[in-house]
Amino acid sequence: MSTVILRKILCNSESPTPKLLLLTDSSDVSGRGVLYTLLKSHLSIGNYVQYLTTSNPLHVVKTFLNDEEFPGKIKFYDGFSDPCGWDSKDSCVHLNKSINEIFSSCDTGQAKRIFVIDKVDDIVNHQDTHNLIHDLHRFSADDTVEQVVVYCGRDCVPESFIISLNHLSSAVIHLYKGNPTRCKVILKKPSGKIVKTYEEFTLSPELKVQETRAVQLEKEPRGESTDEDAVLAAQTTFNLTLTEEQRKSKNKLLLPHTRVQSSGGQILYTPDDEDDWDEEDPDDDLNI
Amino acid sequence: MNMFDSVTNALESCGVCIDEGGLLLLSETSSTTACGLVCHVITSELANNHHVCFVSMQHTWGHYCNIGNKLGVNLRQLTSDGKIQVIEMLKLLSRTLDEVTDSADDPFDFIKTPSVHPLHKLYQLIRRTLQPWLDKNEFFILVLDGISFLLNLGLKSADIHNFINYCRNLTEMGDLSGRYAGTLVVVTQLYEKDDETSIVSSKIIHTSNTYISLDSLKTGLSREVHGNFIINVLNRKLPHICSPEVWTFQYKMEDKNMKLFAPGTASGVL
Repeated sequence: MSTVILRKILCNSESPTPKLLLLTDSSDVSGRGVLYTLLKSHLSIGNYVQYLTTSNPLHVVKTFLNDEEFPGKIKFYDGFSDPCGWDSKDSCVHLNKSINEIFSSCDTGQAKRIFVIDKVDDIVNHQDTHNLIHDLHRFSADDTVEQVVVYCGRDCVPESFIISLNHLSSAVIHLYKGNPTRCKVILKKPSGKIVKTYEEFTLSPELKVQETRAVQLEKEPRGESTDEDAVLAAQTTFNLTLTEEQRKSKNKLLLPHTRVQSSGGQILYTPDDEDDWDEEDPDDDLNI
Repeated sequence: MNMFDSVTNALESCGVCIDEGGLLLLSETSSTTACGLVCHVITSELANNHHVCFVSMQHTWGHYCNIGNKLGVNLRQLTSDGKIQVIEMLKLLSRTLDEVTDSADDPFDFIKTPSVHPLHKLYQLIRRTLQPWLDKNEFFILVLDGISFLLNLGLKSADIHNFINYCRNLTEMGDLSGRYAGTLVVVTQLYEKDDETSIVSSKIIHTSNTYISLDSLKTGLSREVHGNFIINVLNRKLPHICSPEVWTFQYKMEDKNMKLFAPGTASGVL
């Protein structure tokens, strides 16, 4: 039976809630809709969201997660307008600070706290990746933190950083291009069991998970096709590919200038007049 | 004053509107050039009475004026009329290397004196140039041509990303209705085996509204087809759509025109 866990994670029905959730996308697929879907689900059940934005201005994020729909349930941190302090804007977050320093504590009453980093690859531009990983580890281990959601572009950071984040995360969602959008979901349960699924999904305009289904994939879907034959076939109106039989015939073809050697290789050497040629083995005196 | 009608029609049919603001990314390769397309964008926006600030990092302004002349547009006249503000990075770099410039405002000061934020002074220069338009709420186009060139000066992709984010922020500083103050147009070079330029481009693609790539043909060179013109559009107002829409055209640069056509319909094929 194929397992589908993306909906459980995005609708917050997975128990316990994954402490650190990593969401990655690439330049040909955007994970922002999935991120907003997850956060709307958190807000609708009364959780308190603290949202650091580094790649979009606040007014754009507030279009989808606004205070009016969830009054008093969401606090924004502006890491986009002046992350380096070049414009001396006091209300902005400088991204060279630690995660703890960025997210100031606030009284949320009984509400569970959800922290969102959108996007961690912008923070990588300002901090050492090792320190950032340690920071995230310490931050997510805090008992007062219900979940830390880390949103990252896979092709914007070193691969070692993604591997470290994967290792740290309790749940990982990697998005891949497709129609419908495809994803690889990894869920690490507290018992030690790891569930890995490949799924296809669509989102509704109201940012709810519409359909999900598991797909059987033997390999991870590639972000970009490296198959040159497929690229060529897509760009021309005549056939440049070979069938299997044509490929075998082509490999069997003996070119006229190729000399056929029946008994393996042979070294033909004609010594010059100056060469001191003898039949003795120069290594004969070695006791090998 | 519209230069390339087929480009204008193609962009309109794909729902691309440069006047709406946001980030437009153009990429070229070692065998294709976006200079003609950049000239088209500039002249289209000037025709719509928008201001243009052009930051040229890999060519002199004279190079673009020559291209404009061949395509029937007098960019020199428009510059002297004040409609285009030009920041010529090659000239500024030359002055830095000849040590005839004041280091307090020199955008290339980081070459002589290492800095934690090497592109801070360049950003300040651009901001000073745009400030009169920002103050009057007048729409502008900021073109950063040849952004990958900065990697050759020892800068890291992180420095370039920070700089582009700040430039993007300048275009977001619209009025309270949320209207953009301008459009940021970034031109990058994409080389298959160069990881640094790929990272620079990938990062910008993540935040762009429209990405147009001018790619060479995989199968070689052709007289009738100079390359692929691929338009990727991701509507940031509809985040539930995760994948961008992609339109693929092929193009041919003619004397005074850039012709676009569907793949496989070049005149030599038909």
